[in-house]
Amino acid sequence: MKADKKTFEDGFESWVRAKRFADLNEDELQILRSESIDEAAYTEIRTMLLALDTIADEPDEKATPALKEKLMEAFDRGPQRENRRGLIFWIGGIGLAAAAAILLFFYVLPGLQQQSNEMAIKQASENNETLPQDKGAEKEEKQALPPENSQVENSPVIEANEAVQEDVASEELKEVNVNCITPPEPADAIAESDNLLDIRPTSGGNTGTTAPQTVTAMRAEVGENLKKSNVVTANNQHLTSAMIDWLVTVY
Amino acid sequence: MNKATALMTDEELMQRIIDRDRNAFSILYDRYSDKLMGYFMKMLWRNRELSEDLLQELFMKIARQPELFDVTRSFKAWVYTVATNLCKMEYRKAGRRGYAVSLDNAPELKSADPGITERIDKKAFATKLKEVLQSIDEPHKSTFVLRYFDELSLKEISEIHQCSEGTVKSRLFYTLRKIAARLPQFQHLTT
Repeated sequence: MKADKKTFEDGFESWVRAKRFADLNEDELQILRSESIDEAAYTEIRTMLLALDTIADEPDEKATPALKEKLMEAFDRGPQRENRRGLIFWIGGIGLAAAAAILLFFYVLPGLQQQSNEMAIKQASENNETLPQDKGAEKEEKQALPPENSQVENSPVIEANEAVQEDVASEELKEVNVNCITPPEPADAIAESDNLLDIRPTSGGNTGTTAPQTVTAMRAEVGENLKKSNVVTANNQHLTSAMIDWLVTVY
Repeated sequence: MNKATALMTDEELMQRIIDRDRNAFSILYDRYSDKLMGYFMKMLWRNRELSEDLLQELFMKIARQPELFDVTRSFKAWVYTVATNLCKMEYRKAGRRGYAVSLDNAPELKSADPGITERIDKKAFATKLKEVLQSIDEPHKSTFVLRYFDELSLKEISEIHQCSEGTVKSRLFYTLRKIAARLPQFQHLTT
């Protein structure tokens, strides 16, 4: 430490070390008052400053010589090389990111989309097998209501589902038609009820034995009859509406 | 080594370093490495390894980006500002680790024991002083070290800490009182 007096010419240290408290002038006392320093504190500070002067000027531990060599090497490499290395790093990083993005968009995503479509179709067909009445009800609702959300309509998954549903529905409708044309015991079952319309497509067409009715009333009646008959089962319940249409038309 | 270069001011040396003068860098390192090492040691709990790491980091900055220094300013104030900022970062890290010790919690050194007092010398005072310094908070400690160990002017210290010279004075008064209270056994050195 080189805490000699000339070092502190710009500060308070020079007069603190030189004077006891009793020797201070008004300006110096004013400074001490502004720092809330009384005589006791002043004496402590003065003692400490004088003690600091007595410490031998011995440097702290020095840095190892190897550090200087390392730093000189770093200096010789210069900032350009560091910058170039940084630039190469960034260019490499950006290139890799671009390649990854291309792979993702052109190879991975289309494959994933196709896979998801296949899975959706598969799942839709499974759903149709397990819950046909629910799907049928949804389909009826869809037919009855105008489309609200074009985004949903355009969805490939929904379209795929609808296509499958339509296929299944048309197959089931065919089965129903066949049943209606050649039912195992429809004639007797229908004939047993008094309220039934005399619709007998299996006997070669409608003869029109009942009084003329409005289409709405006929639909209601046919629907009622179908419910009572064995034609409507748990598996084809959702096709009731289609069946009524067909029966009324034939009638 | 070029004699003219050796006589250059710090600021002139920095201008040479910006122009990639190897000698200038070497001279500047020789001028400041011990001082800065001492500063880091006092500021960073006498941790030699950490102090050397920070010294290396500081001179790496000078070697790689000397243009960061404004040659119209004082190099000494600038380099100590960088050093102080590095210390602050270490204090923050240490704070997160619960390393920092406040002055109020520092153990009181044994007061005047006649048997010990007779044997203590100036070297012991220096050692104890550095120990006590470790328990002082960063701005006060830094101000004290810069003033009484590295001999910076009040103006330079105020630049480094970005505060007024009045604040620097207040910090010095405060720290001197605190240290004096912690080292009563060394009062005899001045008598």
